[in-house]
Amino acid sequence: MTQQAPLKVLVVDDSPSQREYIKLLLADQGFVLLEAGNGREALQLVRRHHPDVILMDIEMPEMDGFEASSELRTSNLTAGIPIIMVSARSDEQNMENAFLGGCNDYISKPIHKMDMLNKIYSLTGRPLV
Amino acid sequence: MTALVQPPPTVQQVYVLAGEVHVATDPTRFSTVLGSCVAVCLYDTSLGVGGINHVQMPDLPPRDVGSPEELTRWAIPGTQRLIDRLVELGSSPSSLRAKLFGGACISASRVPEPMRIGSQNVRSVLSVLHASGIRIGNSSTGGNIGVKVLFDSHSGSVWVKKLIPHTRAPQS
Repeated sequence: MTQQAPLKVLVVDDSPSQREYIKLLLADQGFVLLEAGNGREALQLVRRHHPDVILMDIEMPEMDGFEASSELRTSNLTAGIPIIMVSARSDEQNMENAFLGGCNDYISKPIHKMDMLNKIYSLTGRPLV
Repeated sequence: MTALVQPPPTVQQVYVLAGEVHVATDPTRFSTVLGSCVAVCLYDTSLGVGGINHVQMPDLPPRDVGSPEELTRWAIPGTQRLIDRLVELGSSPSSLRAKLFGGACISASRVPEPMRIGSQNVRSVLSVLHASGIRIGNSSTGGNIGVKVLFDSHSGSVWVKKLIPHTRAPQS
């Protein structure tokens, strides 16, 4: 049986402490973890590394999560990458806008590790380890 | 499907977040937004009571979790809690009706059905409703699109808005 390559997960959040927290939660999964501080940085990393899944914050300077997701959905190369919105702003309008903007699912802060892992594995078709 | 009617100002409107369970004895319009999560709309029109949950994860937590709020993120305790709260208000499982929504898998890749978290959430919720003998009305689960659900607690009426992405067509 061939071993699958580790999942590449891009964590996008303007808060370094929040990125560290998410990386800590994912540390035992064997993922390749990439990180970006805003939507613009995320777009550059996606084009360079083509991650398997993106954990995207909503409110960020320069380019927010909605705008970055919308950009990713306009290219055939990136349109199929699952995007999970991660935000404290789990109010009605933001969640509606997240789905209308092409995100695949969302996680509300405070993040629950099992919720995040369930969604990552489900969207990438990998079995939960 | 009936046309969406704006509720009178006297009707309370409550947005339901992931992991929450709400019940109402006064007419209330609940709303929630769902991807892979599942909401159970549960009501008893003879008493005019109803409630809703919003579960994120299938089955039970892997081990004890702290608060009841945390526990109701999982489908089995989250659905059982909703039933229990309506029974506490005087209803009984035989007079309750349920409608289910959510459980989507919004993925471009072909994810095998058993691995889809949305499908697992639906199965878990159904197992609790079936075990309690609660009848299930018009529901809409699965698919590959997020939805916004509006639920009137006193009548059991539900409106579902499909959140179809309005992104531009992909370019090479």
